[in-house]
Amino acid sequence: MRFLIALWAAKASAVLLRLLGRNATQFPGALAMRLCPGFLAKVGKPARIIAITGSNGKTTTTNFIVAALEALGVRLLSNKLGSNLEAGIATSLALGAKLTGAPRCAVAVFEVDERASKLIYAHVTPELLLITNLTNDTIKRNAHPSYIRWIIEQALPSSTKLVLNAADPVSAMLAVDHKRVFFALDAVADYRALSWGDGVLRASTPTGEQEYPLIHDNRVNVANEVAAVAVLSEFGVSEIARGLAAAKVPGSRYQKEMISWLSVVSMTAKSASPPAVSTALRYAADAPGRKALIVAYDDIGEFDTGCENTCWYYDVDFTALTDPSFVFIVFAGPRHLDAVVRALLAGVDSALIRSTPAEDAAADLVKLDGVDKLFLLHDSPLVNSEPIIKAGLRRRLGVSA
Amino acid sequence: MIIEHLYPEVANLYGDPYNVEILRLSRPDALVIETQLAEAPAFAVRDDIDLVYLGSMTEAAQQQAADALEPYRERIALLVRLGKHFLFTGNALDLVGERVVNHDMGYEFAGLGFFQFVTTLRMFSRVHNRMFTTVNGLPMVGYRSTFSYHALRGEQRSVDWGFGHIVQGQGLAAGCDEGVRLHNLIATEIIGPLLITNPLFTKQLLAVIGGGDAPLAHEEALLAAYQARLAEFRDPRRWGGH
Repeated sequence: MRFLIALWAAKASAVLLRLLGRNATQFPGALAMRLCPGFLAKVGKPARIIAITGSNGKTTTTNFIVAALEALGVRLLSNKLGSNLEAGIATSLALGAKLTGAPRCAVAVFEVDERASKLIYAHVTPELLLITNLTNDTIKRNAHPSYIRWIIEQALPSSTKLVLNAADPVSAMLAVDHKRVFFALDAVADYRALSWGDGVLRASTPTGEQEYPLIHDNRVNVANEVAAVAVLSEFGVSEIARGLAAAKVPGSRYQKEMISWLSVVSMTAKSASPPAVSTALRYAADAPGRKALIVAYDDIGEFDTGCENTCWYYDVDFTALTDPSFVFIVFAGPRHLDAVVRALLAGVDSALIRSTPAEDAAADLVKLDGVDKLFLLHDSPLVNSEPIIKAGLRRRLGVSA
Repeated sequence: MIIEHLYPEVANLYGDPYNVEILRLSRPDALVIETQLAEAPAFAVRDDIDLVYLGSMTEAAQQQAADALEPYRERIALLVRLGKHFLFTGNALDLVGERVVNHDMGYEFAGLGFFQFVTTLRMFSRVHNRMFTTVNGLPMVGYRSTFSYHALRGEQRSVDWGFGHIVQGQGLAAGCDEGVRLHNLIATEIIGPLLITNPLFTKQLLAVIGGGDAPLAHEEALLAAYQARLAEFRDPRRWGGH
């Protein structure tokens, strides 16, 4: 009875939160677990569960997989819009359950935070677990990649089959006694990208060479797509190409727009995640044309919650910023002086650099003469750098919002 | 000037290798010897090493580094008595204590035993602090992020072998200074490129290891970042005050 009360309370709280226009991705599950500590163990789960974890790419890859399955008519439960922690999974399961607690769907796709593995896999057994990669990540939470590998290994159900990144030495060696397949861009793997461009991804798979619609040409997103192909194939999906035609990179992660005459590309990369930021810097460097760049990874809103330790800058490949196609670079945010130091140590010409602690000053500081394109690299959409800087650009270029 | 960088293939977390890089960039004529785990350290056979550096590493690498250094314990002790400079950062500090214990992962091993403390690694209780200290009156700023908890041996309540006097933050153990120091062997729990974030200390260090008093690479930018962080650390609101 306690479980059912917790379940109904979670459902009712979700309805109430939505009526109030609030996000209902975390609280209902947290409430259920508070009312019934064994809630996650007792709530009904879909018979087939795919879990996606890793340092980088899990949200994007989860979106690809969910979009493909839904396009193929699979009715599923997912947390793609919500929290990937224990309470988020509990919320998804509560809202996806009937009033009796039985699951309404036969399939679930869950993004799982690596650090939450122990709490989640104790009660949720994935049939497949995709680990996109285990790389340097937020020092405070994740310490180092080998530590996260150890966390996952402690929690992993014995029946779970792994889908692993062959190019990542840390996760590729995880739980070697488990069944596994590998995906990769540039390494020997069961699922491997052979080429991509002109809207097509060619990949080798256990059933031979296949073509898929290319979702995005950024190398990271190509790797995410190959990972999604591997998961869908191992899950038994036969029309993967048709499914992936419906997949998109989440708009919050990559956006192109024209502000007056200026082409602006904004890219999200998780602050304090060196591989994600390195990839974003490299993507900007490799893009054609003469470019200006605004880098705003440390948001003023984070000032009091610990963005100040900039150790992670030194695991980022700042040499991408020495590319001669960059004609001007602005570092904005409370740690701008540390970013300038890092760039100088990487060999960036000091004459190209300006910096400001205030995000709203960045748009006025950047030189746009002779620039074909402006890249705006920023942290999660949960913080405010991107809209502030874009508003400044619109104001400067005389465009109304 | 000769710098020996120990085990860079594994002791490379949190940007710590840039402690050597800033010295190399600031003194381009310096010789940097990178010693791998499988190699004998240069300091074992050479007397002209001016600074031996070891940075942060994984738990597995800590054991490997302890194994690799153990045969040279007496040599290190001799060099320390002679005033040679050693700088260990992050969890490399644990290795100069008596023992490292990790119940969560199920192992323990002996340290070099230069200082009377035992390290316990608590893998589910990572601790983070801002560190604001003074070293010979010079303000030092940095961060600590670690699984390591240190306990002084026996009845000790405090020690006189600390490295940095605590202004704000947490020392090696309750009532202790930050880090440890024996002659010119310095071990600090501060992680990351502290020689970049503390350029005045770096200039002092370079001066005493034979690097002269020329400016650091990009010194102006380093000083600007240091002064900004120092001003923040001096603000009591950063420490929960008003």
